[in-house]
Amino acid sequence: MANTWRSFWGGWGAAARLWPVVLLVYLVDAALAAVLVAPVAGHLHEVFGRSAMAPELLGPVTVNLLIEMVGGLEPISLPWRPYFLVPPIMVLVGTFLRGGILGALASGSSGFHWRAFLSDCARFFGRFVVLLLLFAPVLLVGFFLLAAASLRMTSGAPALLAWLSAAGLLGLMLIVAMDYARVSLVLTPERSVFRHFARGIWFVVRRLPQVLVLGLAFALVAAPLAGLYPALLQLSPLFGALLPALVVQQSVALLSSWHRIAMLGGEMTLYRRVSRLAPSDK
Amino acid sequence: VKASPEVVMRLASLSLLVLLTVLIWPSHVSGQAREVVSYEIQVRLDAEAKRLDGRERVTLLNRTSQPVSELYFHLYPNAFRGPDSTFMRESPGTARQAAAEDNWGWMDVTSLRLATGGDLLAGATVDDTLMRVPLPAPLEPGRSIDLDLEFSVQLPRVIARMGHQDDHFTVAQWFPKLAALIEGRGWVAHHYHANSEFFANFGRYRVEITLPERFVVGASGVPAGERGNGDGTKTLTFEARSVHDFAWVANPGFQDARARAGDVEIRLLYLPENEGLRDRFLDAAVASVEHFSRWYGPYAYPLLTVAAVPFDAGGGMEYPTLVTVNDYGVPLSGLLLEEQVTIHEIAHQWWYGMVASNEFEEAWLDEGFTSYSTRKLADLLYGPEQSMGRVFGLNVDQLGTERGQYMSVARQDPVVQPSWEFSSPSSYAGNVYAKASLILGTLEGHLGEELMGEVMRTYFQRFAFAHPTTEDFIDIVHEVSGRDFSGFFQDALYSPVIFDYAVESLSVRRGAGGLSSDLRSEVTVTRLGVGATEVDVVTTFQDGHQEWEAWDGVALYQRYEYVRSSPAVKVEVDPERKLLLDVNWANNSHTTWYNWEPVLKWATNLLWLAQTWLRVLAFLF
Repeated sequence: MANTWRSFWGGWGAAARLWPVVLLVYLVDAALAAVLVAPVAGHLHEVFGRSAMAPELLGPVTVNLLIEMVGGLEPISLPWRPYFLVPPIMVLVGTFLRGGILGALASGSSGFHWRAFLSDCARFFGRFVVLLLLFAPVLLVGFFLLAAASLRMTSGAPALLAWLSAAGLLGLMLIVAMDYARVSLVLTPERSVFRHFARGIWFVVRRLPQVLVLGLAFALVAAPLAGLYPALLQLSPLFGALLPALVVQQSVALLSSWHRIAMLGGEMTLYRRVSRLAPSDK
Repeated sequence: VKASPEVVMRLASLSLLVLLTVLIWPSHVSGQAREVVSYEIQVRLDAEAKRLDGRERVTLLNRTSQPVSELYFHLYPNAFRGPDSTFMRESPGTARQAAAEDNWGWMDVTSLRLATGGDLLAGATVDDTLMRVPLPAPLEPGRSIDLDLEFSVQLPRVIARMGHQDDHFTVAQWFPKLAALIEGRGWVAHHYHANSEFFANFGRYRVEITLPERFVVGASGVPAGERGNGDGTKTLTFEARSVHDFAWVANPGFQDARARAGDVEIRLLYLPENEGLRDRFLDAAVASVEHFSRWYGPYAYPLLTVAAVPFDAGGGMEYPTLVTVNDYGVPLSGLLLEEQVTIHEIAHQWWYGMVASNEFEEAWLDEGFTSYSTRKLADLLYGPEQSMGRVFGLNVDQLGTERGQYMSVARQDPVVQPSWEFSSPSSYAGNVYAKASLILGTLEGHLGEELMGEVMRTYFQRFAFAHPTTEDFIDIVHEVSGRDFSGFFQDALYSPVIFDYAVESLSVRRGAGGLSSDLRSEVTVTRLGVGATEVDVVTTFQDGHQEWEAWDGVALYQRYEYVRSSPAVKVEVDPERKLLLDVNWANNSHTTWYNWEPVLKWATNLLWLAQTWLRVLAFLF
């Protein structure tokens, strides 16, 4: 278990050293999110900009308020293209950046260079996409099976919750397996993507307790992080004011980017420690 | 023409007979119906085969002014006999599910005789869920007829809130039941349609239910006896007066809890897994009976049974003096759905149970009145902003939920039409539940809460234990308010039109004199929807002064002009939001200033949501 804790803390340290990448990941996220929000903000401006109803937007959100927002909306008038394009773009950009992130993490403390980072992004992109295509159907099929099974459950709410928890854990393990497959691909010279796909799953199965503890440790950090901004909004009227709220939420978004890179760092450290791979094996 | 003594004697005898019959049958006194039918039923439940075998004595008193030459019985379980029934054809999803699980149910009438001995079954014809029975001789006004029937029912797995689920039984629409015989209409008899519910005459019931001893039973009416049969079964007797239906539920796991609301005893049947909901169901039930009794008129029966049926055995449903409710599970635990369903079904005791409208043809009189009553009570008990609870940071208010439902179907169908003529189940629900409730809410806006309360009370008290129509209600509104709402009702009830008032423009310009004390503010308000009703127009000036105008709302637009030293800064149409049917409240006003902060706050929060979602996406893939 010592390996797991060292990996956990090591991940945070490694991610801190990659702060320019943390910033880049955050900026990409914020920019794409802004593309999504802009049309809706424009619609709100049209509907409420000069409506006496606008102050209600500052109060609690009710169904009635949502109805007003959507009720005046002509769906055809929204530019729909971004909503179809941004999600796949985010997945592809994320996949692209992950090659550079893992490459930089694999280099250990030898320093961060943008040129090397971008080179790794490009070098691993193709094989990461193939890995994604291998894992995505498993994830999607799993999701639909879960949804279908949940809908058909007839034995009451507690059983449903237990089922959802178990399925959620299994889903987390699948996602983590994809991470380990990518780590394996970056750390070992083996070129076959299928082998790395199998290695990722096998690593999770063989080292389940350590993988599980590490995954849950990062999940435990992610949960309060995700809830921090909404909680602050509830707790303090200060965060109802525009500027402080914006500062807090964007700080949390930045921390979340750090968290994700730290998780990859932790997973890489664990993989190395357990597989006895030195940084030079890359 | 001079009548012979023989004719006079026969007429006198007939008159005496009619008089005696009317005297013997219950009269229309407070809390009791002019009963038309009487049922004495003995039924046995085979819990393993999910089957009922029964016999019934039906008595029909012809209270209309016309002779009756045929009878119509509803055989409702035949709606589930196969995929070709009217019900199944109108609800293909349900039909497919039933077929896939070999889950059919049906009713067979095996014997139908006059109590005096003549067989009627041979001449009877069955069309879907209706059985037509020609009588050997017309049943004259004031005369009654006794019939003996034997029947069996195969209960389906719960469908349309009727049937079995494991060891639970919801036994509704389960006996051959006479259609409604209405003065001026004759028989009102329709197939069991997917959207429609039920309509029948008031009467009395005495029902003996024989079933395995392990079952706990809740039923319409009041218990009137219980005996063991020595063979592992027991027979429970229930009696109900002044009701128009009889249903029962049975489950071995039912626990029994009691509460009182004034003189009314409330019996809650619930399952052990719903122990945590027991007080929520009971509190909602007590509040409902107390408030609705105070608002409209007293609940006319000594007992109300509330049966919380299993999670997967159907949902809430109303029967006279018996309602079913259910829990909605942990994922929606922030919502007050259990309270909502309890209040809604109990409100039906007034709008269905005692005021028994024609649910086939004018369902809004039941569902709309019930939804309106539910919203008013939930707003009072839980607050208007969270009347349905709070989930995922969202305050769920019934008004917003109803408006959402209404807006999604506003242009599809009128509210008043037979339930099977609605273009879709969502249009049926959006119109007869949501829009109808909003119509009554709008009426309350026009009349004020007190006068609206008087309208509802008068309507209830005049038509309790009767079968009023939409026109009866409109007449009551006009009578009590002294105002004419014909145009509003025409648009709101009989046309699929929307209501939408808006501010078109607000402009201020200096007067001809060029002095600052001579500012001309010009306001134009417009009617964007086809529906028209009176609305207030309020203009607020920079110095705080307000001008109120009463616009009849009929013209396509209306212009107001004010010359004051202070400029107009805000215009609002219907500022108090009396017109709940307005599909867009946001365009009801115009300010001269721009509301930056609320819009930017929302943009900021949406940015957070989008960022979080994109991060999750990147994390997953």
